[in-house]
Amino acid sequence: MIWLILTLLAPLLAGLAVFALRRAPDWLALAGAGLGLAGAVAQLAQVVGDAAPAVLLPFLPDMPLRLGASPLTAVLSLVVATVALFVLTYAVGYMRYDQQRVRFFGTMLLFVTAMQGLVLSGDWITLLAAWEMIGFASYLLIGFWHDRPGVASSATRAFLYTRSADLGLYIGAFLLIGVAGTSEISTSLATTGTPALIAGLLLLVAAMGKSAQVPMQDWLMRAMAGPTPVSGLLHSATLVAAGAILLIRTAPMLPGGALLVIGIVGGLTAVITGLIALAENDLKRLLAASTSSQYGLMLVAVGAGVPVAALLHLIAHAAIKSSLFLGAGVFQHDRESTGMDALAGAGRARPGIFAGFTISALALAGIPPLAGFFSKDAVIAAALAAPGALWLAPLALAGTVLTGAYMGRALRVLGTGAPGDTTAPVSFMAAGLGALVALAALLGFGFGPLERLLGTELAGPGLLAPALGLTAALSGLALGLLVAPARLLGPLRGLAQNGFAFLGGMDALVLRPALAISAACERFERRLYAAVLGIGGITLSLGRFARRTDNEGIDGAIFGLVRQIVQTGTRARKLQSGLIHREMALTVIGMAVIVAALLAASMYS
Amino acid sequence: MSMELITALTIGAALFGTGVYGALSQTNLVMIMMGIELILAAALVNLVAFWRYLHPEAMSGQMFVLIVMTVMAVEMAVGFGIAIARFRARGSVEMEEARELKG
Amino acid sequence: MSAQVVFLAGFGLAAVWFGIVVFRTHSMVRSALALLFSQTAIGAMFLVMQAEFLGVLQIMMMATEMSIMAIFMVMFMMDPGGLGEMDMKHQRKLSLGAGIVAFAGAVLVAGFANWGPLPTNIPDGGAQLRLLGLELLGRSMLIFESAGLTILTAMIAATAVAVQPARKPEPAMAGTNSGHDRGKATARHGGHAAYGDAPGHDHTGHDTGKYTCPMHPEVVSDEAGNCPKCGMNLVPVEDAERDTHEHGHHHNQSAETARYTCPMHPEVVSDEPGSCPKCGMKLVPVEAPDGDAPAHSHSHKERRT
Repeated sequence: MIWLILTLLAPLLAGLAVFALRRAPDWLALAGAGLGLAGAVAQLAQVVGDAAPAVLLPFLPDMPLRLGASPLTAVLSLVVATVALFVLTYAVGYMRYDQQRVRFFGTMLLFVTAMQGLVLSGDWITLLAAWEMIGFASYLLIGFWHDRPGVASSATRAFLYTRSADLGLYIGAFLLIGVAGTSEISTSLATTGTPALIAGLLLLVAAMGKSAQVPMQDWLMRAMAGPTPVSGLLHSATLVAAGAILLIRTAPMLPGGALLVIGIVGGLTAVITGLIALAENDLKRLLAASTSSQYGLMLVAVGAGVPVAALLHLIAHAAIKSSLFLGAGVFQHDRESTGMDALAGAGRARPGIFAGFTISALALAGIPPLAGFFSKDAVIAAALAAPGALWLAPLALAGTVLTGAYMGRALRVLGTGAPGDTTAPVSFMAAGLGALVALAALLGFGFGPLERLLGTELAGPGLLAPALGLTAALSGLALGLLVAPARLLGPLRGLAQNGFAFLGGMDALVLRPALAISAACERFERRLYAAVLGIGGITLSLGRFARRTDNEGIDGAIFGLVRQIVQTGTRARKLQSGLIHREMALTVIGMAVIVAALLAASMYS
Repeated sequence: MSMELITALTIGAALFGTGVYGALSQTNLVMIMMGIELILAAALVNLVAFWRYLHPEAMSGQMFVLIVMTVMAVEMAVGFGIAIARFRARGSVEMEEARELKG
Repeated sequence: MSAQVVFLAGFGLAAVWFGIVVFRTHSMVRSALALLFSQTAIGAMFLVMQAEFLGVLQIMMMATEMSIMAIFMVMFMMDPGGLGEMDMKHQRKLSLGAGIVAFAGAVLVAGFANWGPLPTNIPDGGAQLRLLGLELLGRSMLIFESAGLTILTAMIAATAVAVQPARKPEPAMAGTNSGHDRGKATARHGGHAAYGDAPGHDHTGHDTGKYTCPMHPEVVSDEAGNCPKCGMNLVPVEDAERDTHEHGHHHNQSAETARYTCPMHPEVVSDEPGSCPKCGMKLVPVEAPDGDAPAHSHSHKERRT
């Protein structure tokens, strides 16, 4: 259990320390990631030894928070920790001259914590919380350079897309909790029947959002506005993997109908985003579309009923795609851009980096003996053996061809052209990149023990699948290397370049309505606020009126009275002139009055 | 209602009116005192008339007259004493200048 | 009784006529004489009304009183003979109205009251006196005694008021006068009711040689004479200011400290006598802080010329 806690706590504490201390963020990040990796390794060792460490935290009655390491979750945790460490190593070099490094490393570490929490979660509540956290961290990281134009809107778009898809997860999770009576994931996987179908479809919606499946693939390409380490960690290996991880974990529950839908969605994604990748003019966007495509292949495997194949491909893809992104980042540093035109020939200036990039590219295409070969073979084999093989197999093969094609194109662009100058040496970046490339190359040999650990032995691939796969990969590579994409795509190129936007795409259907509603709410709130201020203004004017009444009215009356009395006194004072004759006159008048009064009284009485 | 009484009372009224006029209109203190003398004389006339024509047997009427005469004498004495003091202080007894009690 | 009416009316009209003359004449002496005749006519009326004692008393008293009044008149008036023909009246309309209203009121009351029948039995003179004496010494003893006490008190009070307070002796004095010949100053030792020479009136300062009018301090002249505004005799400057002091002001004045201040506003100080600019009061000399002897030394009176 302690390793489980360490896996989570190490990056968390490192992240908090970065925000608190605001110095040496890179070393703190490396320390946190390193300790996290150590924890993950030790945890896997525990699991290999048939232990099942778990953590229970009290929360709602009957629904405590669970974190647990099973073979599946321990492996995923190790993947996350490994990629995190190497990407952070790379980021030390990439972000060396950035002013906001503290914010970057802190947010990255918090993301790693949330991802580990997602992967190791044992109940739906924790999973939901971690799901939201990684979405939020992604928003912060995509919008890291928010001063640049378009970056903030990309981050908002990504957040809104995935958030709208997360509704599926919420409803599905609560449905499962309600049906199973408990929030423990493993227990709720025993659901069958219609609830399982509905839950499965809802979870698919969530996975489509997070893993950038069609029709929600656009956000991932726009997410490339963030720094490259972010792309390397979040948008290749971890965050987008969350969708696939969700489906892999709930695969035992999914009925055949749901699986079929999953498979078709994945297949369509693989092909469509492959075409988009082929038509792209930006290297990072190409890689992003490729990520969607690969996750489409994973969903095909899940839909074929072989989640282990999807898991294998996920692991391989994590190492491969992150290393591809890191390499692209190095070239970006050299050429200050990631456009294909700018990057022409960048690979020739850095032969080492380019070699690593090439190895990863070939691995992605599926060339033996690299890791991608094994995992892609497993996927193709699963597709061929699936109940819906009629649909799934062609889509998977087409996806493979396209993979080779766009990777070939990338290699061709990078490899041809003037080498140009290189910037400073990139020791950290090269280190991170190299480690991941090594993993990309060698992981294939670990798949056997992995299958044994998970308790699911894949049937031997046979001959058909590898043959088909290899053929597809090689032909794709050849196409990409030799043929220009304009000729390749033909009439589809324009559509592909627009991202196959249909009916205005997600922009018009989701983004703009959501933003319009929020703007309307803000206007309404402003009016309410103005109304409240108006009421306050009325009260103030009442107060002013009262004060004016008091000052002018009452005070005026009082002071007027005082003035009148003073004036009367002044006038009365004239009576006392001190002159004897006047006094005598007053006396005479007074006496006359008294006499008259006496006479009148005597007359009337 | 006898003519004698009416005559005497009318004479008394005329003297009283003259005295009031004089007391109020004169500026000199001595002249004012003369006016007051006339007023008191009018009172005396009325008193004697009432004694003679209404109650001649009651000597208190004549007593009253003696008292009024006493008052006249006292008033003159004190008044002239004040006049002397005033004259010494201011050099005149013109009441127009006597403004010290002005409020 | 028609004879009584006739005599009453006759003497009465004479009294009223002389009473009016009192206030119409300009001569003060004539005013006093007119008043005397008026009072005598009233006494005659008393006699007509058979109050013999009272009538005689009235005539005797009034003769004496009016004579004294005439003396005072001549003393205090600036124009006793009335030759200046100054019109010394004020609030004429008010007083005329008051007089007429008083007359009318009294007549109306007299006319409308129900006096009752005329008595017929009048005691004769001797009987009246006897009855009056019995009344005085019997029933009205207390009243009479009170009247006597009142007269005594009034005499003392009037004397006290009229007596001039004692003043400090003065070293020298130029010959000034205001209505009296000062040449006889050396023979005077006090007890004078004349202006400026009452006992205790000491002049410790020397004469500055200027003369001013007591009523108009702004009139200053180098020689003795009459004030052009009111006709009063001019007095030496020190005397004038000293005589306008109230009792109780001590002064030890030398030529060097001839400063004047206002009794109400001590901050107002001036070198010339005059009026205070803030309140209008006459400025008084500033007392020197040293040698302020109490103002009752008569030792230097003989130094007056």
